[in-house]
Amino acid sequence: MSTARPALVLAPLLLGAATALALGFYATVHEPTGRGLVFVDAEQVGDLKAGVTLLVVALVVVQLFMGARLRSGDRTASDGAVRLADAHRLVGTLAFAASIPVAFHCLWALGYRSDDAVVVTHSLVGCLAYGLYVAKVTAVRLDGTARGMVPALGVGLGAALLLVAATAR
Amino acid sequence: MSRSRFARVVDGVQWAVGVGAAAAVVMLFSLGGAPEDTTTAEVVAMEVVDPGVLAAGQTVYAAQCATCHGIEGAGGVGPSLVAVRDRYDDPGDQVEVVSLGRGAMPAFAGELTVDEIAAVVAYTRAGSG
Repeated sequence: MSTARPALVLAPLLLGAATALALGFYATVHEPTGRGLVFVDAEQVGDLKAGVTLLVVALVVVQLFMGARLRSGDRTASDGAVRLADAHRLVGTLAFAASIPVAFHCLWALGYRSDDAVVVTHSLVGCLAYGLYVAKVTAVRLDGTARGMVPALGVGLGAALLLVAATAR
Repeated sequence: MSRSRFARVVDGVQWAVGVGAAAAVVMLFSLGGAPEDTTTAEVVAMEVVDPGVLAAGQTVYAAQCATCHGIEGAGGVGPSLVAVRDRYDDPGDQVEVVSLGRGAMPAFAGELTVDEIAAVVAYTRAGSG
């Protein structure tokens, strides 16, 4: 039975932490513009973000179910398992892609605000979610990470994204 | 063992999304932030005060602010603006609240231009709100 190599456990976590901190730092020092996205007027951006957030939530739920099925199912490399793993990768990638314009607007146009507990939670967990994403996609590509690390990061990422959506305004 | 066509499609999507994410990071830095100092300076200059700016501010106030803050600025759903100067010593802070919203107050950055926000802030600070 293989044992986890500490460096391969730490590396994804450190990369994820650096990502979350970098996003938080940017949001803090950047002067928010209050504008819409490059291709969407400011008055329409709220509706766009709400719609995209719903899409991301739906993809996250699908992703969590597929992740659970991957964990509980036959671990041999059957065609079905391989296809499910690829579908899991695709849905996760699409959820990440859909979240980018939303996060971009939050960071660039709104920035970090500390006057409201819900907004603070949204800001902090949003940064954490991207840190968890980076940690997960790094860990999943490394052989020798701790057993259970990738699923734990996946569940954490899913929970963080759901919390981000629940605290969005 | 060769990878399936579906797996290669997923690889391609991941690369494309990775490039898109990298582009978004570059844009975060290249697009820059709001010219806060300019806006603050504009409002300070307007406080000197240009009657035309006050008139423009009054028009904006009546259309966008009076419903919540009252026609005379005495408050209603939103707080009173009678002593707004005391709350926002720096007009830039008030511009930020109007632009980005706070609490129940919506953001007006998409509704109003920078000049309109500066005008309505100058108007309320002139004690006319």
